[in-house]
Amino acid sequence: MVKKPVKLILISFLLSALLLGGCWDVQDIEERSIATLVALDKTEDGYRFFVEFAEPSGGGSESAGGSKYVYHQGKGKNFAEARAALDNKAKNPIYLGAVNAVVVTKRMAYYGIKEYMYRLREINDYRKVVDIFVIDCEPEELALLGKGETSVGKTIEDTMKTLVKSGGRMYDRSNLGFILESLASPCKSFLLPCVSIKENSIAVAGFYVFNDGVCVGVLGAEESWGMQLFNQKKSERYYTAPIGGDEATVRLALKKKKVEPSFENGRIGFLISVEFYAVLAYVTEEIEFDAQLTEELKRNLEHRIAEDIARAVYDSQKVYRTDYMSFCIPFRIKYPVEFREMDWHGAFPDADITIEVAVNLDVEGEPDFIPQYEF
Amino acid sequence: MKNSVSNRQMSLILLLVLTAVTIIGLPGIMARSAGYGSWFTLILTSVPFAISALMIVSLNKKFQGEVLFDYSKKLVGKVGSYILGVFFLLYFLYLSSYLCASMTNILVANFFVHTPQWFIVLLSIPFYGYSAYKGITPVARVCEVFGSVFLVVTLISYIMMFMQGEVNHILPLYVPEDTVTYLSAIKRAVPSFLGVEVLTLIPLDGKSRKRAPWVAFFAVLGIGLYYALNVESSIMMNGMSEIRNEDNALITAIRQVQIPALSFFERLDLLYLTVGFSGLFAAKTIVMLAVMEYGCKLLPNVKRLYIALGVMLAVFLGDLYAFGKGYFGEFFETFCLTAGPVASFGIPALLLILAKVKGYGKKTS
Repeated sequence: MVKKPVKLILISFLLSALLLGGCWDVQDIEERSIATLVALDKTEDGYRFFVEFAEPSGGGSESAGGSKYVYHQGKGKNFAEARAALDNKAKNPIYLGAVNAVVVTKRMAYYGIKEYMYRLREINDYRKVVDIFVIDCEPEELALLGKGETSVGKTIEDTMKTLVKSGGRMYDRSNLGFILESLASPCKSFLLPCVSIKENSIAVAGFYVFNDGVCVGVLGAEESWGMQLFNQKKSERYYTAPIGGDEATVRLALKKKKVEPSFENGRIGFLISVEFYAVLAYVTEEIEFDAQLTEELKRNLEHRIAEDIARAVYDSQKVYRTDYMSFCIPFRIKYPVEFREMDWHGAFPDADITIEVAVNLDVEGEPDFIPQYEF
Repeated sequence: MKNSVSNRQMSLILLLVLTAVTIIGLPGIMARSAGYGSWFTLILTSVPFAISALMIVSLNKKFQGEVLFDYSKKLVGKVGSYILGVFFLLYFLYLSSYLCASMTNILVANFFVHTPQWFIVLLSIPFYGYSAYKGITPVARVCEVFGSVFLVVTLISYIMMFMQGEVNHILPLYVPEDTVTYLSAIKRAVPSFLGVEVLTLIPLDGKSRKRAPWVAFFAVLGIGLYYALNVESSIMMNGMSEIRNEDNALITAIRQVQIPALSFFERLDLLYLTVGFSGLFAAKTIVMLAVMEYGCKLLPNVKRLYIALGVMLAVFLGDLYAFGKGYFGEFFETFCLTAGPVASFGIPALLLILAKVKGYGKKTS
């Protein structure tokens, strides 16, 4: 029999060896180039990666001129070559697990990002929750924003999260996981927010419409309003509607949304019923709201919201001819067999869509501001 | 030490052996084969295996303190019992190699990307071997602890995934026109329930013997429900179309869970790496124990230590062979659809009928 101390030593040796198995190719964090922003561009004869790296030592490396963030690019005929070129320039082996945002240029968006999304899925380091954006500027312009002191990748991620929370951006399905699901599903359509630079700050300037991974157009900030209202979740948003000769501003929140599909004689139809809760915030002139005025404002709000959503639906069906508002989901749930057998991409633009809007208006709330004339 | 296992230990052993490896790849497998009716297929498949568990434990109950190899001598004779012993030995040897290689593949694909597979196997096998060498009672106690933690942590993960996933991804829950597809997907669900046969080497505790068969029955049905939760929550996170491309769908799904309130604990998959793999450790120990127990029964004159060393070597070589062949391939499928039902259903049913015919139930009651 093996003696007890020998047994203990043997067990301790095996245990430490097992734990150290994960350290087979261990690399100190100081010896990794930590990417925080990855920008992908389409060049004339291939691709270009432009990547922001954090300097883990907190800046001060001579090669980086004392910056906390440095930028490198790699070009190649294909992704593998571009990555290899980038690897050659990075000081240490690249680590992608800390990437805050992946951005693609307009050129790349119109060329197509499908292959790149599949590449991201295969790279184990990437988080599936990482957000993907389109930039309408050059990657170098983004780099200038941070001045090597702040991470542009982190700034983009934070700005987008804040906008989602505040209601400034109500369509928040732009992460890698959602895009991969969209590409694999029969709908194949999704939107990516457009990141632009306005007065030296990051801003959202509408959405790029993708069909099967290729950009087919841009929804400007104004045109995307109806689509965003339709996709609103918890956030509320200020919204205006005419009242008499003036304009009233309300805080608007989506209360209920129901999309009821129908399929009769081979014709696809949808009845969209949305119900909003609106609280009067302020008006341009002081108005006493009686029942008649309240009803008028309510009708105007309903009419305006319906117009916005109708415009969004029209853009989706007739302009871009792709289902980025995900009508395929309620249809698939109700008619799974029919959906499986049809070409949704071809059928969707001809669907009949009816919109019903109801607004629950509260004019007795606490207005933020009523103009005062008698000081 | 008295060799016996309580009902709770038996249920947790079943949970670990059946689910520890399976839950990682099952969502992808079921999404590909059954689609929206995965939950239906899994629950339906659990029923025959629950009956199998009921039969095996009923046999163990009839022959108190004995395991399958012992009482089969009385039922089918010495030669028959040796044939059954060799069959179960080879069966569990293959299952042990499969579990070991599967875990290594998952580790290498998701966490230890650059660590060679053979190195992980080489270092881990002595642990399973040593634990298994100690016998059923200490292993059952380990399973009781690991199993409880495993169950709680995985259920919390599923609840988080249900809360953060898209409910539309799992709807419609049932498409009547696809019933045939759901039924034909049963063959894909069968491997998830293989392992019920470990009950053949679990001697029952005197106190809890009475209720044990029904505990085993409901434990397997519960595992069917647990699988349904696993698959549906993973689909909610990944999406039905995308999850079909995933081999390790649970890991991918868990990686997407974000708990803003726990910003220091962003990587929920690391929780699985610790708790999930401790469960896997227990499961692999149990299966290796099964090989050792049958080895000891078949070769009563050989020291248990030598049998343990032989089993460890065989599992290691089995793993190397499996890695060389790729991801087990067609042989595993054939194995699951032939040897699996024979071990879990055919043999226990035959022995139970013989025990009834020979009137053993009456004698021992």
